[in-house]
Amino acid sequence: MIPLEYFVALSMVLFSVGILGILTQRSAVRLLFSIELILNSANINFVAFNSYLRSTAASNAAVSDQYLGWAFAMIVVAIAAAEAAIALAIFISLYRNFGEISVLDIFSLAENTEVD
Amino acid sequence: MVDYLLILFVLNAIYTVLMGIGVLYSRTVIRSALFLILTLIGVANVFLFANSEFLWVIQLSVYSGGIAVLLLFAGRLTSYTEDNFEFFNSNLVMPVIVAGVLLLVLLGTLVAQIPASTGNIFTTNNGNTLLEQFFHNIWQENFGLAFILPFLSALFLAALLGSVKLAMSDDSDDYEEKPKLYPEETTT
Repeated sequence: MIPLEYFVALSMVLFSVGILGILTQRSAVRLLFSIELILNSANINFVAFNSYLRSTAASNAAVSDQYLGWAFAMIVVAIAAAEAAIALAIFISLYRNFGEISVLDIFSLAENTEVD
Repeated sequence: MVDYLLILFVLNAIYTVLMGIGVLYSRTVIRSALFLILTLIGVANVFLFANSEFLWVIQLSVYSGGIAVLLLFAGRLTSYTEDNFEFFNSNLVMPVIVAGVLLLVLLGTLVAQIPASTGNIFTTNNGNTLLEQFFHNIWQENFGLAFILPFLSALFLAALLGSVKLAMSDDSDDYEEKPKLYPEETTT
């Protein structure tokens, strides 16, 4: 049985890598990748804590209590899928209007908008 | 007695973090997406270490399969040039400091919370914690675990319909003023 701290430490490192990506990257696609890293670190926490609490909880606990972390992890996966789909649509729309998706150069979602 | 499972976990963790750094600092977006797929596979292995085989399958098939293909499309459809990519740009110092301080604070709280006797940070004392009370009241009695999958399906369907509406062009005039694929060729 791997101690819980190892999972939490890995989750922290992955979260920090994602934060570093959000702070440094300029391409919107790479920003989306960084968000995926952060979501995965959250998922590691959900699954690790669920496994730990299931191993230590009383055996007469309800099934829905024993697998609550899995449910949240599945919610995170579905949210990530929906977010990736919407982000892909937004990126394509941006690219059609501007010809690039660098977040430093795009100030508006509308076409033909002059920004001072 | 050497704990081989622990060694495997640490190796997998190092692999996952290295691939995650490779997501940020690879040369092209496509390579970045491939590194992201490897990172997701590493995270799936972490799920396997946590005795969650079902989520391991879900992560491999849905996340590093479906979502990764979606992200590959996002990179492939939008990135025509990577000329402005610099490995270490000048703005890197402050973000590295911020992320490093964040990591140190997180790891410091983790280390400070470990009791020297047990080595476990989350020993449950008797009685319901606040979080358990919250889950019991809000989650289990009002919603129920069985509603997750229909809820997620409806959410994902709405997201897909919205993304189709977003990516759809309004009229056929858009095809006449398509952005040039390689604008640097026309400037020279």
